[in-house]
Amino acid sequence: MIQKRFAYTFLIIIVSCMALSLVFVPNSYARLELPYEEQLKLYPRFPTEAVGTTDAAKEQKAHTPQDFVLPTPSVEPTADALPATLGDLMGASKRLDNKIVVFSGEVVGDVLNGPKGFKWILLDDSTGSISVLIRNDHAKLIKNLGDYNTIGTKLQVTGVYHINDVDQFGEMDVRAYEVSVIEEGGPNRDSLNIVNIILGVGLLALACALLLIYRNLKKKAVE
Amino acid sequence: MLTRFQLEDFRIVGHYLGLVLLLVGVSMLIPIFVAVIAREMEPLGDFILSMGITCLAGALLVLLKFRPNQLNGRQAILLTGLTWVFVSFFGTIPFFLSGHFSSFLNAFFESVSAFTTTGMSILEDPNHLAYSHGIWRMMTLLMGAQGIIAFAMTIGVFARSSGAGSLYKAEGRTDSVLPNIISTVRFSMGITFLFVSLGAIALVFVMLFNGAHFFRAAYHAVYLSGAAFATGGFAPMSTSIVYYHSPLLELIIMVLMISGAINFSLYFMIWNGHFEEIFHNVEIKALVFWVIVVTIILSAAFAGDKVLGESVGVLLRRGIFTVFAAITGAGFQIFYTSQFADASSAAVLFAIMIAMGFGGSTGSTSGGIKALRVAIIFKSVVADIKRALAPDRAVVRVKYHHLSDRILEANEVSSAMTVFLLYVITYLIGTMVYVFFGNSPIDAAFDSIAATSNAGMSSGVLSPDMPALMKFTFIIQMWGGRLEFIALLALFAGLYYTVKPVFKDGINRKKDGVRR
Repeated sequence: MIQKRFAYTFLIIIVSCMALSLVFVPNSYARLELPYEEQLKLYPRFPTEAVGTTDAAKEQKAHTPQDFVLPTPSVEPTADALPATLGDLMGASKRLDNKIVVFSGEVVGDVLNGPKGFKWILLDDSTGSISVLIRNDHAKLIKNLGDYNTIGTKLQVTGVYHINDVDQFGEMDVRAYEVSVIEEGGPNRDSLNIVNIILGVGLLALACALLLIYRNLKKKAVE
Repeated sequence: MLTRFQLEDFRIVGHYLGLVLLLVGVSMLIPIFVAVIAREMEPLGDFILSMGITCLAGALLVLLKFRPNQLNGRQAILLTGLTWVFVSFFGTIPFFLSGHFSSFLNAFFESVSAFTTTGMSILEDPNHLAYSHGIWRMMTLLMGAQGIIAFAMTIGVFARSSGAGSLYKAEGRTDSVLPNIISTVRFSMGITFLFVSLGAIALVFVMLFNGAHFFRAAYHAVYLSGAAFATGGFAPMSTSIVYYHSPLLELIIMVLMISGAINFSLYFMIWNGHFEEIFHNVEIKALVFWVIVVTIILSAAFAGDKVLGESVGVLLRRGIFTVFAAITGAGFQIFYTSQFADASSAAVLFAIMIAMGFGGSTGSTSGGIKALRVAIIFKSVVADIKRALAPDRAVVRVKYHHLSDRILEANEVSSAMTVFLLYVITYLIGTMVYVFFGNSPIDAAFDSIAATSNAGMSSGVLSPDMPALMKFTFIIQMWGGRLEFIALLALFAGLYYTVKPVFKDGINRKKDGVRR
């Protein structure tokens, strides 16, 4: 009777948690609902040229938000975005914190629900991986999700990088405002390794034979 | 007087070791099944070959003895030590064949990390790991959490052996609330199955609600549930828990981690209606106390960060999760250590180190010094203070409650202090090795404590390209921490005295197998 009560109590707790999840909605995404011009006011410094050399980085000028020209959506990176690798972003590069960055990577895993109107994706390459918050219309560009058997869609993302995004409870992320497809990806099927299978089955058969021998010898030893 | 292991000891131990290897080989049927469902052809071949190699090795060892005698205490120690070495070695084969490790040593490191439930990973490109390999990774965590020997006991491998009690203790278990050891380990397995199943069901719903595809939702749910309860800390994706962006998922993971870090004997007491044990048990009290202390220290450390320190939401959600992950030894990371640049990073790392070093309950899946030992040492300090203040003829007794009311005995204190000292010495040796290879002392200490306490967090010292000596040091630390040193040291000492020649009158003599 007590065991049943314990099991039912546990189930009730789990179900309650699931129900609470429907009302537990973080309310810290208001900034993302702002018009784009208003969002720009939140970022104090805007790079004026793509950084390719140390000198360029040192000569970066601060512009007021009104001076910033909205880039038109295109495949080419904007001149105002800092090129970065996923390794740079994962390494919490202070140089890139709260800056507009441009990078590319393969979409792996699932496209997960984010705040209203947004989705979370994980971009991955050989240097690292990072979570990116994209708009729902950008999510529709993703045709393939990378895993063992699939090469995911490769995207180029331009957005603002945060080492500690307070609105996302301190998460390291990029809030994308421009997403474009570099490669769509597709199936990446592997093939059966016949040698391994034959070898493995052979060894298993040998193991079974040895165990049969053991059983017979054990019986004889008892007799 | 130390006795050497004889050939007969090795034959008996080898026989039972073979049975354990056969069990591990047969358990590879589960990832084979997953590979078939997920249509992963190459991993299918990997696991069939691994199964063949492991079962053949097991069958050869079983043939060493046709009618094995019952295990005595010394043989139990030898068996426990060798089991963890052999099972880790053969468990490496699927990892190596996956192609995600640049060397066999790296794959062996991963295997040891999995079986010891440490969760330190040098897996390359985890986001493209086959589902079958991922399931094997999770299974090794669960087998290691239960104890490989205990896992074998559950299905009756040692049913006829009177060494079950010695085997049970040699794997770092102490409490046995049921009439026999076999019943106790079966009860533990039942509790594990219950929590992992319920956790997986809950997580599937959360993942589906978050927008995951059903197959991946089920895979992640089972994986995370097993890894959390085993306090192992492996996650399917490279960004660990951060990938899910779900407070509810983090809450469920925290519940599973804490559940895994609680003494299984306590579950038995609760199962029989003794709910008051939760409030009287000294381990639970110690755990609650340390969670509060570490949370306060972490809060103070975060206070210096202009982003993290100003957000209560960040502290509540990520800080508390980190505290739970560290104390239970799960090691799930919800922060990158590179994010602490603005915070007092040394203070943050220090707080997490204390939590990891402290550990969870005895008789649970977690590592570390263990709450009961810390409580006993604390009680011993209280007793000494009382003796100092008491009249000369007074008899000072200190009581504590752990499943029953107990009086603090000198041998308990001695045993707790011995293990505490061994942990601290291992932390220091590991730290010195890693500093020797150019790491900062704080980072070296962090990873050394994480490895020895089987917590698995890393401050960045760990990498696939680190020197081989560092990898071996990590491996020894993980093994030692999992077996709580005594079994491992006894194994090394026993093997040393077995092979060491005895010299008498200038002539190499072996007399009755006894070293004089």
